Amino acid sequence: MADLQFALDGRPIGFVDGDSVLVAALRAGTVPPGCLCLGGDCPNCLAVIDGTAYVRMCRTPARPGIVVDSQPVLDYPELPTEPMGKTVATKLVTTEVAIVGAGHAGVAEADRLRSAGREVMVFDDRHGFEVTGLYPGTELVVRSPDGIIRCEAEEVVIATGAAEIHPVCPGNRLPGILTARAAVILVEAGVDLGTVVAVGDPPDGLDAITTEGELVRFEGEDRVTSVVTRLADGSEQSYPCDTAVVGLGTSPRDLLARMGAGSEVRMVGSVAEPAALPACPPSGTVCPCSDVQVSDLDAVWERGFRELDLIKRSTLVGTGTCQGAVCIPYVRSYMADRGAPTSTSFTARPLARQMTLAEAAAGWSPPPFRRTALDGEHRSLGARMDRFGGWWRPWRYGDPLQEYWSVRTGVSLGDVGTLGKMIVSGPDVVEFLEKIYPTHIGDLQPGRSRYVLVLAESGGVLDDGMVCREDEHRFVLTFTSGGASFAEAWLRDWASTFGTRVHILDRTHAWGAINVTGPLATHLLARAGLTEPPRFMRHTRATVAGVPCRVFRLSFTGEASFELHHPVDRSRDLWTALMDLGADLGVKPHGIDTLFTLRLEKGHIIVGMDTEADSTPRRLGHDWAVKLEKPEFIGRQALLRSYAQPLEKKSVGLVMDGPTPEEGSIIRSGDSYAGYVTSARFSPVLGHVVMLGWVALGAGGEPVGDLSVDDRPVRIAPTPFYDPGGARARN
Amino acid sequence: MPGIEILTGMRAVADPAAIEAIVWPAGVTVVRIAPDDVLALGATEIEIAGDEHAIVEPETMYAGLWLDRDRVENWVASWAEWHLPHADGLSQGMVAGLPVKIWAERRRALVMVPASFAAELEDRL
Repeated sequence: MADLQFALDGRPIGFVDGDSVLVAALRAGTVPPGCLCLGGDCPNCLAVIDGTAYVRMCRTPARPGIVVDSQPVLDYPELPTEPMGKTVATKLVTTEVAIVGAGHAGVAEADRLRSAGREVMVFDDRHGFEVTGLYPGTELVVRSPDGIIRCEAEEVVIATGAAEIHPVCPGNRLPGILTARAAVILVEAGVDLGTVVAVGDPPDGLDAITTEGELVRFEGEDRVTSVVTRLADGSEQSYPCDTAVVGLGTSPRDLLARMGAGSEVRMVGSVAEPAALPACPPSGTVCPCSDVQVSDLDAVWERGFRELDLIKRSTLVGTGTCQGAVCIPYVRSYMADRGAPTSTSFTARPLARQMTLAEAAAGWSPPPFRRTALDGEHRSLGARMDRFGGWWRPWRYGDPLQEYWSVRTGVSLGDVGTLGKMIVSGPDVVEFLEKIYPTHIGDLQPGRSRYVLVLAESGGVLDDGMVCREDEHRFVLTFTSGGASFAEAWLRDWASTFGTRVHILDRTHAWGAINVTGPLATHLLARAGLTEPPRFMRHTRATVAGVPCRVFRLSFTGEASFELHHPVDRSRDLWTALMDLGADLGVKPHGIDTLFTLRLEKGHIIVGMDTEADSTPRRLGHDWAVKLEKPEFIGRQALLRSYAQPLEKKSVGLVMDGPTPEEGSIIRSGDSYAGYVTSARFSPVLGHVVMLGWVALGAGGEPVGDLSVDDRPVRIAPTPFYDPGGARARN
Repeated sequence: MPGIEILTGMRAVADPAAIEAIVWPAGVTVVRIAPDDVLALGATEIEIAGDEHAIVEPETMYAGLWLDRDRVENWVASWAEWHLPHADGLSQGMVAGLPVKIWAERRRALVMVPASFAAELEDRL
């Protein structure tokens, strides 16, 4: 024996060049239970090899140093406790013909096609290329030593040959049973099989005792010690042995061919040849993967499951590791014995073979998250980043209460570069926007802005934002961060539908945006050179701290706010300049956590958080943003219909004392469900909890009874909760 | 690998005929994104005649880098089913989960993503 070794179940196993792990294990006397085929068909030699489970030992070349732990067929291997750290590469290849199987038939077909000038690729698991799936198209997924190969082929040829039929009878899970081909492989590898008894057709050259009669059972305690047959006269004959070898015929390995039904797939060689079914077994394990016995087939048959796919679903036969390679011939035989048609087989779907999760994920990329140009600034300031609306955004920089008070009493910066931003221009731009938005556009003067809802045709609120008129035929539109992803396509689609002549340019990624907000905002901006800031709901172009900006004055926080939209490559310059200029003013950045509190105190909704798909402006209390007298806008017809119906629920402002309820908490009226909370925050400036929530309305159009959340009373309150007159935002 | 940088230039959205009529100065890489949409990398201005409503803006939307064409071809082939165009052509689509535009020349190619995906591009290249 050579010095080459690997570890099997914690003990060293010697091997010689050319051995598979299984051959070396058998040579060392370690014999897995069940009939072994050494052909990659059955589940009986599974192992965890170097941490990867469901690996067939018979298909794995022995290598020095590998760690093998045998894996019982019916037990699940332990999940790894540490990340395996394997990223699997993918490669896309194309060919005219892909051949699966490099046996005699596959090689002959490849030679014939190449001679005819066809481009051919051949995959065979014995050479390290295991086809795990066949998809319409036609595409093969192949495991290879270098990762996953996706092979697009005009035609697929299946040349996978035929699998040997395993025995089904009592004792068929004992160790020491081999198929005929397996016995030949082991003898050629020099493995001592001891006394061999052959059932059925013995392989050529094998020194074996040949049995007579019909196989009845295998006997033994820890491994097979005898084979019992029934002779023609009904008597039983016992054959003592060390190894039982069965030659029961073959069954086509047609799993991939069935998977490719309807595609350009054909079969050559023995996979295409019809095979006789084995005798119907009276007892024994039919499906070793799912531990299905003949008695289990009897049970479902009696209950009326008499089609192949129904038997599969009701017993799980054929759904395990080998995907029916062992059991299908016997299930069909069982059905034939009862007079049922057996021409069909299981529906085959990928995967044909086991893959690791890393292999399954190969070629897939996690959804990317955008970063604003200020991402590095936020992180260097110690911000805790989180993902909102497809972007990494600062959740908080430290104490959110400090961030909050810097907005309410001083000046603060917020990164709002995530907002959707569009330029729209053209001779028909006013007509276009009048149809897009439910509010008036034509009367908006250049230099002014207006809050707008974006409605679906169903009348539900899709998004909200601002319309800012730059000149007669040119507007800047803003959308929420989440809405930005669909805004451009949505606008283009409607422009095409309306046939309006407009140009649309998405600036979401081109412009950064910094919100300067707080009672000292104008003071800070004056230091940065903006001595004549726009008034509330107006906008202008100006150079701020040396950076060209579009300055939009509005307010989401409830304080004076100026959004500085600027070229994204100048974001850091602008941010650091404002932080430096405002240092003695106590300027601080604020994160999303603080912004959510600020906006809730003002009663501003967040679309997608405070809205549902059926949230019409009326249900949201936003009727003021809809001008039904306009002849046409998206959603108008649906609103007219829904407004003819009584209002049965509404988004309202709520206040309560005590701890802040979880968002999503149930609102009760007495003991009855009345709605739920969509947003909830403790208001530092008001000293109590403020919330938005959906409540059901009674016949009078008002909520009924005393409302409670978490068994505590809540009161409906008008919004905005804070500065209802809006003086602070305008000053 | 050289760093990914914001690509500066000009962007114009205008009537296709007006874009066709633009005279480009030397040294500008002209990427026609759509019939009515052109990206001029390296340009500092665009003069458009015949469309008074054209939108012309300084462009900083994309980040990217030039790489050997072979490398870009291999990268795309690993992730996508489409191929690079022949010399001086634009292709665009999803590669490694990112919306990518690739301006391909004979020996090199410019890989572009929206600037907000610059870090993701660096990770996924």
